[in-house]
Amino acid sequence: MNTSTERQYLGCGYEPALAGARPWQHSGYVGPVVDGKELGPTTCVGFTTKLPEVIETSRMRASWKVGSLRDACGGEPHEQVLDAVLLLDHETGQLEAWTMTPQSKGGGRAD
Amino acid sequence: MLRPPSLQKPYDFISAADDALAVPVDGADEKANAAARADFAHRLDVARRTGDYSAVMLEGKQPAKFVLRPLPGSIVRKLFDDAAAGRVGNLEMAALAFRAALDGATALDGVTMRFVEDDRYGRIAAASVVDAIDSGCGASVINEVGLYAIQRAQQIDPKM
Repeated sequence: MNTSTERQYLGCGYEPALAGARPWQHSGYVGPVVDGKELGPTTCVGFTTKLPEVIETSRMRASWKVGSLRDACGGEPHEQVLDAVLLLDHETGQLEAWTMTPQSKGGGRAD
Repeated sequence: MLRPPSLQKPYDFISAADDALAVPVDGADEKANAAARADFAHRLDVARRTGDYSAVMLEGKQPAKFVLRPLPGSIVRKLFDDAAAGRVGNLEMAALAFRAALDGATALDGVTMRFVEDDRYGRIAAASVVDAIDSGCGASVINEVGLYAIQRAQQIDPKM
């Protein structure tokens, strides 16, 4: 079991943030670029993927893909639901594009 | 049972000033006090993100739960416009956000939930609800809940 400090260095969301933490990121991760430097994730995915709103967004996206978002929302979708679904879908698209790109061109597919 | 935070549905919110929370008590050592306060603030932040307050609750105590709905952007824009135009002050803006976000409450002694139809903000909690909470819990609670509702409406949590 990791110590509290080890978890902090891994960006655990349950622990107070620590400068210099390096949460895990999958190959092909594309982060926001600030001042010419690509930033990594701030928090461990083990924490973020279990957040209620992230789980909700995943479910909403599944409904959105088959055209039943309104049913899943029980009415008009809140604008933040639409934002979150589009964000997740965009990120999923980026990952799919990376898996289809040959490694020789910076992707994840074997040449 | 607490309703977890949601982008679509009403969720439960517990004020940092609630008696049911294990708020650290200040001692003689200022440095230790600051560390304890920071630790509590972090654990409360995690509780609000995950909807699991067990790490900050006192055993056997029942907190007052504010049921909040996610504020639509149209309401937040009106709030900011009204504040910028000087029609409401900053604290009034927080109180209006509170009234617009409030969908219900439990374990709030002496507070009768009542909603009114406002010309500008639609269905909102009556001003008498704010007055009753001010008397029972202190005015800072309205400010805290109102600002939290605005903050959530402004952007998707970057930790997502």
